Amino acid sequence: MHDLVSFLPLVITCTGALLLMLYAVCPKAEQEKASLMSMGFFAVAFFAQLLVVCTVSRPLFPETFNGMLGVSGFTNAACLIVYACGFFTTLSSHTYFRENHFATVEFYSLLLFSAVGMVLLSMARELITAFIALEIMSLAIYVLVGFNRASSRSTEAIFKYLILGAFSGAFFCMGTAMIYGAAGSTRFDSIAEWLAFNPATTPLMLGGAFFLLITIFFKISAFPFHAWVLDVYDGSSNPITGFMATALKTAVFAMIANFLALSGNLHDSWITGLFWIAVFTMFGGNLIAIGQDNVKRMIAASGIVHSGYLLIALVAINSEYFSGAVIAYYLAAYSVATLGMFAALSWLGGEGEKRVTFDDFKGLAKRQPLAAATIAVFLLSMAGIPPTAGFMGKFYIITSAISAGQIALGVLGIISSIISMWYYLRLIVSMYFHDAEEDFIVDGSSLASISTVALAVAVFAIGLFPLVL
Amino acid sequence: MSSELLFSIIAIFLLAALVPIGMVATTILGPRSSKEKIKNEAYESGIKNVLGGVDQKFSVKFYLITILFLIFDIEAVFMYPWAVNVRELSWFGFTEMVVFILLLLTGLIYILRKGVLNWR
Repeated sequence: MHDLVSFLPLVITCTGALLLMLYAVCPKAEQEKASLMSMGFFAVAFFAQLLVVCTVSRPLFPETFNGMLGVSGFTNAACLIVYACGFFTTLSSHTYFRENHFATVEFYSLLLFSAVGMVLLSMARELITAFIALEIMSLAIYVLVGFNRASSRSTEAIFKYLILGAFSGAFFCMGTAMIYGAAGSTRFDSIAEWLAFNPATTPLMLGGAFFLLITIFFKISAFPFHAWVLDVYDGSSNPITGFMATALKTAVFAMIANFLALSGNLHDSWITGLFWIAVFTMFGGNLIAIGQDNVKRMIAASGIVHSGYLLIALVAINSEYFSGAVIAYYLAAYSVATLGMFAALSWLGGEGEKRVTFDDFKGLAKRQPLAAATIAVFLLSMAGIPPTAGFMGKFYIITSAISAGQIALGVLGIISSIISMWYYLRLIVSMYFHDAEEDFIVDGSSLASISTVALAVAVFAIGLFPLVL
Repeated sequence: MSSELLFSIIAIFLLAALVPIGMVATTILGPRSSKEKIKNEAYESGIKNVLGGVDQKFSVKFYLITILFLIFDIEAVFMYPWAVNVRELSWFGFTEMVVFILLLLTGLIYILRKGVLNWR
């Protein structure tokens, strides 16, 4: 029974998803009402989670549901980010589907279901549970990516994502089986006990962790498995791209941080691999992003680069200076900026996402100064300019890497961050230093505009109060 | 490298090699009918000509029914072990099972109202 108190937000989200599913078959169901309902469920879940965080200073039951799920400060932060992402995604969807007419009530139900999967994934303390959570999340996301059945780009995106995602899910199962073969358990704490007395380089353990990491790297779009990102992000609708880029990445990073942090032994055997993957992810993502003309594809590629920065934090995970707070903080900073970018795109994108390239945003600052200013704030935060959250996030990650003795990695992170200015500033230049070619008639009172402004404020709020998390 | 790993790798390669060897061997060694070409085709449950287009379209209903069958099949799979241990699990197990069934019931209501089971 006590388990349920800390899982109240999860129960709310799950109930919300089921209720919306039932609402979908009501004869009088309207998708606009459904979006308001799902906003409500996300908001209630967020505040319930906040209540759990504030009232319980130290998790009362770190091991719940027979050790299958666990709650810690880090998972609480990850859950908060997921709920907030869900809330703002619903706000942008509300506006987006006024101009694009393919939404049904199920869209919002699936959004809530995928949030359930993400929250479970960040809490998972056992590999089979993690796999089930991963699949709950992924299956809902697959459908959301391909929701626009009339669009061939969307169909291409879901096809690529489904095939590759199912393939990587199989790797997760294989890895779980091998780790079970080595350690005799799929529970994180039992694996950690086994690792304390055995080397992490036995073939089964090495192979199992290798397969698990393949799946994780696929989901977070790290270097060798990043190729799907551009097409999938480009093909799915703006709000869903934002949700995938932020909430999904948060959940998967929470899971892998929990897994790698369980034993220094395991972590040490992977540190060299993680080092090179972080480096290649950062620079590969940068190279891809520089060549893009499409804002969505540019943000997708910059998502790869940000995964690289987060991998730096994973390399430094077991040093004595590290706490999960660095990863949680960077995820929050990254989520706010990326989600804001996609909220702005949902707001300004127009019918059928007609404004997508850099040229389409020429002269936006003259016609829509507020929109241009918020987009500039998000881009500067992603680039890591001082008063924003992105700067503080990068600062923490690079200091933690340097304190962990990974000075080369820290320096490479800074270089990559400088390279990334190139494509972030390009959009700012095209918004501010060109004459407008069109009038940009957009709905200034829409919910997406409100969420864009709220997120722009959040960029500064998170940047100025770095110790909140 | 441990010997078991080595053996398993050798076994995998042997298995991989056996498949093409078997396929080639049957074509060379197997009996052939020179008069009727159809007899050399792969046997397919008595159907004479199986060589239709592979991109033939099936109604999506078949897939839906299959997926629904799987869900309720799995439900039964979960209910058997619970039914065997129902006394030991007592009210806790009962509540868990009720939650599980209710979740599936919601899904059933959804598909019924969506008209998935109407074969039109």
